[in-house]
Formats: sequence, C-alpha cells, structure tokens
Amino acid sequence: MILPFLAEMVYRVVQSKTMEHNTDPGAASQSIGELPYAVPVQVLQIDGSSDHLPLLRNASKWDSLEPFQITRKRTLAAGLEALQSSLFRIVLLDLSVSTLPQIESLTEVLGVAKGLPVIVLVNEGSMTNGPEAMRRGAQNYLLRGCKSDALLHILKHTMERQFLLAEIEDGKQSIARESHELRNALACIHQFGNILLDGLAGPISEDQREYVGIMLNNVSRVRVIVENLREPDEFVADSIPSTIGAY
Amino acid sequence: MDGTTKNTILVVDDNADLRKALSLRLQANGYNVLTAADALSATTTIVKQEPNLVILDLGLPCGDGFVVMERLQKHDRLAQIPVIVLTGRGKANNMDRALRAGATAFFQKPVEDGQLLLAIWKALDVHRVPVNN
Repeated sequence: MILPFLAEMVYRVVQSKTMEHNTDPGAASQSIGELPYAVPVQVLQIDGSSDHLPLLRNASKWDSLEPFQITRKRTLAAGLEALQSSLFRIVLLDLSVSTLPQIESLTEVLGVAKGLPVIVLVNEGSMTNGPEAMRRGAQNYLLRGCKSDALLHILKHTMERQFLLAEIEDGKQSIARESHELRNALACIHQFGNILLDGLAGPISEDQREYVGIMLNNVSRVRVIVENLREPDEFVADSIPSTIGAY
Repeated sequence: MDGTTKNTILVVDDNADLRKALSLRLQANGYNVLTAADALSATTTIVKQEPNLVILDLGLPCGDGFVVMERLQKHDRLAQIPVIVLTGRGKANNMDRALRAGATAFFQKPVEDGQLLLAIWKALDVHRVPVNN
C-alpha cells in the first residue's frame, strides 16, 4: 500500500527532474544537467561485430553520450573479465559475441553482472531476440544502427530505473525498520494495558478499566494499520516500467 | 508447590519494557521467568539454566534470534527446548525460516495473551519433562 505509493512518488520526482532538463524532446543529445546518479557512468559494450555493423548510425555523435563512457570489448571472455575487474554500471551485449548460443551468452553475462542492467543489441533481422532476452533477464534491447539520441535515451532510462530501484530498496528497509519499531511499541502498550485490566498490578476502578479499554481498542486500530503495511518482500518493483521499447 | 515443579521460561527481547510485561504475565500464570536482552546472553542462559521454553525475539543485539536457534540445534538436549518466536519482524521473510530453524510457533507483536499462553501450554505439553517427585 505504502511502497507502491513511494515508488510512484520517487518515479514522478525523477521524471520531473528529467523533464526540467529535457524540455525539448529533440534535445536528448544536449546537456542533461544534474542527474540523480554519479557521472560519468561506465558502460561496458561486449560486442564482437565487425565495424560495418556500427552500434550507432551517426557514429560521429559519440560525444553526445558524454555522461556515459563506453568501453568496448570484442569477445565474451574479455567482457566477462572486464565485468569482474571494473565498476561498470550498464552492460551493452551483442548476443552473437561468442560461439555460444545467443541466449547462453546472456546467461553468462547475467551471472557475472550480478544485478547490473544488461541491454542486448539486436540486428534488424533478429528483432525477436530482444523480447526473448528480456524474458531471460535482460533489461532492454537496442536495435543496432540506432541514432545516438536513442542510445542516450535508453542509457538514461536504465540509470533512472536503477536509481529508483535503489530508492525503493531504501524505502523497503525503512518501512521494515519502522514497522518493527511500531510493533514493539504497540506490544508494550498492549501488554501493560492488559496487565492493568487483569488486575496484575492491583485493583483498578471502573473508570480506570474503561479508559484502559479505550486505550487498548486504539492499540488494536493501530495494529490493523501496521498489519496492512505491505511487507518488503511482498512489494515487487514491477510498477516501474522496465522498458521504454526498442530503439 | 503442589507436587509439580514450575516450568521456567526464558524471555529474550532487547526491549526492556516488553521483557517486564511478559515476565509479569508469565509469572501471573505460574511460570518462573528468566530474561535475556541479546543473543549472546540468551545462549549463555539457555546453556546454564536449561529453561523449559524460550520466547525469542528475532531482532537482537549480538546476533539475532536465528543465531540463537542455530546454536540450540547443534546440541541434542538443548535442541529439545521449545522456542516460540515473538517478533516485530515481518511474517513473509521470517515465519517459514523460523519454523525451519526449529521454532515451534511464530507470533508477530503484539500478540494476544491468550494465544501466547495457549502456544506455551501446548509446547510444554508436547515437550513435557518428567517431574521427579
């Protein structure tokens, strides 16, 4: 109940921040101003394709990706090694980077990436690989030969999503802590109220009995509220869109 | 004493107010009560005093309730002591885990006295220790 609300609130804040810096939809390649995450963002491109199949249609616009620094590795082994040794935040993966079946390349990378978002690169003739890769755990897919704006957009979206997930994780932890504290406080009031009612601390008057009863009724009301808080693991971050579509 | 010995219950909770409240309630129902405020002293008390039952919070200093149960499970005799978990933590993450770790019952705070006392009574009945008259 609370967490989806929190997620939506955080999402709106980030969206509004993005809008502030990006009022012109065509300005994606311009300065994107203050971002809710540290820059530069290190991106690992594991891509063994030949140079006549560039990632970007307008390859001269690499500069427009300024907040993102892309490091390319041309083999899966080199990519996995780089993943283990460096602090990359996003992986761009060409599914045909090794002799392994394509989805197995993804599985290998996901295993090493440990929660890092993986965006797979698909060719025009094999678009169906994109959704399949997402079913297997990739966060998104990107059409090879796209414009730099599209790449920038998808990278930004990926980082925003990561930022939101981190915020939600913080929120979950916070709710877990607060719920725990509330339960302890309620338990004390509940226990001592009943101790008074049962006369374990001596006789009480009818008025006192009535007042303690009122107090305990209100403890019950608060308890219902606490019990209706969704527990952290019941919350699924599906309310945050995982994809904005292929580019 | 009417020919039977009082059962001893160890209440483990880092909240002093709650320890006091539970102690009062249990004593009023005829139990001897020991208390511990953290996982380490809980384990020490269990080893030294061998209570008949433990009411155990999960969120504790010096470890947590799971650590206490893990230690108990390593000893044949101590593993027989019934443990009732009484915690402010969520059910989703903790109930199955606690029951797998050896707890005989799991309650979220605040618990109704009647429910807790019934669980204690059942646990002690199942794990009844022969009384030497």
